[in-house]
Amino acid sequence: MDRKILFVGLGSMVLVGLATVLVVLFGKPANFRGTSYIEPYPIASEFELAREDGSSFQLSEMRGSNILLFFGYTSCPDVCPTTLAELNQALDKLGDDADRVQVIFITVDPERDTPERVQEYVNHFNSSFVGLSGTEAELSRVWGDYGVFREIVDGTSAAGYLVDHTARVTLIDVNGNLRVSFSFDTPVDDIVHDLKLILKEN
Amino acid sequence: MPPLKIMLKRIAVSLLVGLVLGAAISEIPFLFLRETARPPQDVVITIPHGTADQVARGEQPPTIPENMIFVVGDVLVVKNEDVVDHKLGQLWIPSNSSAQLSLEEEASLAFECSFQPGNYFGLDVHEPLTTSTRISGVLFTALPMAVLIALYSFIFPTKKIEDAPA
Repeated sequence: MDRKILFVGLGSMVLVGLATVLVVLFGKPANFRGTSYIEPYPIASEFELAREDGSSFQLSEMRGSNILLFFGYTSCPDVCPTTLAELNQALDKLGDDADRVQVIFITVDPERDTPERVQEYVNHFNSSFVGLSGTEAELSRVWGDYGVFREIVDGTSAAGYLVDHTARVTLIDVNGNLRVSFSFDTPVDDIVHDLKLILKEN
Repeated sequence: MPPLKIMLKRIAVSLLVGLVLGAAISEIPFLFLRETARPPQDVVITIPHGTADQVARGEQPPTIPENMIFVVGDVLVVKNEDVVDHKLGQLWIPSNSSAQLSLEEEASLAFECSFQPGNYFGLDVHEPLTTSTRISGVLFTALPMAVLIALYSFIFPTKKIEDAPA
């Protein structure tokens, strides 16, 4: 009787083990909900831009953190405040893991956005966000490296001229690789889902 | 009213006729949807070396179609083998890298696209056309048609020979 129980127990363990191996080997990995990059991942281009305190910020300083990179401007009437508010919501939903994600906001409007103004703007959403600016020449290189389109348009808002710009949020992993990008209409839960997948990798 | 035996016979014939007509009618549109008669899969578009130059000259890169039809669940993989970065909507693909986009819902999308001379790429995403979809189509057409045929058949007079005693 005891031997029978032993065999049944061992048999069950072997079956569970086999099932686990099969799931690991052939199971479909969880998919990113944003648009994702495929290995070998493209490297996020290095940049150096000005911070509000006069120091310079280099992307490579952030190795070891996951980065959500977004390009916008402080006078933006719609896309930028919505996106930053959603990124803040996403970090809230991550709970303690939010410490492992850094939001970086780079201006597409250097004429009006000084480093101080950008940082003050992002602080309204979350004081951990980093706001960066620079000269037109410095920023043009960064926009180009990240495929960011920006164009000043004639239409005006209460805050002055408008800037058409790419509204993509790019997720850079701890190794400095481009991993996922989120379009403007990506639901917050999808961003959180993808952040959790990336955090699991670390 | 015809006797029960004849009515049952007419119902059976009506069902058969309805089924044949239903199949014929519902299968016609499916003939035009053959591209979606497959399970979801990864669909790869490769942007070859020199595409940006071709596009700048207004030429259509021969290996890249202008429009594509997908089914829900497909993953569009874009491989950029060109020397410059390319864009497809919000998908930005640096040179010599690949990115993928999951197509999770039915839609007709028009993306701004850097690897097309018209700066446009059309994506039609349909529900996959499976056998069960086709069977449902036949049944949804055939059953109401059979009922109508059966109802009409009841008003036809029966032949005398059917009423005569054996």
